[in-house]
Amino acid sequence: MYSLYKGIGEMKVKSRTLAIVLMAIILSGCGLTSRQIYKTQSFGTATANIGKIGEEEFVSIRNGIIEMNKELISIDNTKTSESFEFDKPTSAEHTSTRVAACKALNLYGELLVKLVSEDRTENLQKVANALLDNTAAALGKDLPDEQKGAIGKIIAGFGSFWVSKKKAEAAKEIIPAYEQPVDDLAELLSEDFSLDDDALGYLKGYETTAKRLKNASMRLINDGSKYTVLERDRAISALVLSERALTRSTELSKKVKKSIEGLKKANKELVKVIEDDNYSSDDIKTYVVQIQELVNMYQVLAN
Amino acid sequence: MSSLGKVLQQTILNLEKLRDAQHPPSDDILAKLDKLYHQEIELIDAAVNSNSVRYKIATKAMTEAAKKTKEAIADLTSIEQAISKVSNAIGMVTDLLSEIV
Repeated sequence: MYSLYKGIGEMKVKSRTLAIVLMAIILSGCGLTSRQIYKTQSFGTATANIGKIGEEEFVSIRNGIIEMNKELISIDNTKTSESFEFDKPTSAEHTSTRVAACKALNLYGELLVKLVSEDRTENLQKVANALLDNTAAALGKDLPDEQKGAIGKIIAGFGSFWVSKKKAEAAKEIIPAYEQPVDDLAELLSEDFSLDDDALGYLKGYETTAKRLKNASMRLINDGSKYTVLERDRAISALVLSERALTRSTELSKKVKKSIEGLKKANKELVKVIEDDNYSSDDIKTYVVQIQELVNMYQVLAN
Repeated sequence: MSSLGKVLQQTILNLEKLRDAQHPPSDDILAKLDKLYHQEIELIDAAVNSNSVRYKIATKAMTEAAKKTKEAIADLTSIEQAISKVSNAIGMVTDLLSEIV
């Protein structure tokens, strides 16, 4: 009798084990592996961070240019209000397009993290829609149907297990479909944060404004006796402001350049990992480290 | 042919070296630099057609200015000649920009 109970007990245990294994097989078949989840989450978090920094930095560059031009007008009496646009070349309209590009990267990162997390919030669709709008605004064109379709399939609000399944399916479709738009957005940022000789982007405008202010302040400072102590004091403040901006632009350009190169490589790796779990490379790992360095450096520069 | 932005940048860098070599820097070099900075900002802001005749003329003039200012760094006696080339290039870029603005 004991052995019969034992036999039935063993069968029950085996049945339970089998059910668990089957469930695991079903889950892994339609979901993502832990490695895919980890890579997607790492990439998503880093990309959201680079997007957030970009959003802040474009506004900061514009404000910095306005501030430096105010100083320039105050120390250079050859400049007049009629001949001067304080925010050139960073008009509100141009800046908002750049902010949209960064917002799109931020939202893409956020969406990926949500797709592989346990988060059951209902705003997945909202994030997806905002991502589409900002990408189109930044790139100045509507996205092709295959890319829009992948995002449009996101449906929130299903019950537990099926939400995970749907989210995994959406991630598998969105990541390859969004490879090109992410590269295009990265390219836009790359141009704007370059200080190369032929660069004509935002950071170059910021650097040139700083050089212009430095040049104007040098005239006053070097002409010592011609100017009052008050005028010299003003010129010294302008020189310090310009030197800080020049250091800031050099540091920012170096870090952002590395981060954007990292973003492009990691973007490619993520697509490969999603399509083939066995694919191996350290691009996402390196990218995460680069973004962390950028975040740290950005905090230093902000203060 | 290099882009106008690139040769303008080279002229600026050369002229900055000449400015920093003078104690104190001449008002003329400071004034020319101010104009070049202004033009660089205008170029960033404007959508310039690199196929236009004025663009090509401005690029050629600025290439010459970059060359002469580089020579002047090695031979300070040729500063006058270099400044004259810079003035000419500034005029050509002004023409180009007036086409757009």
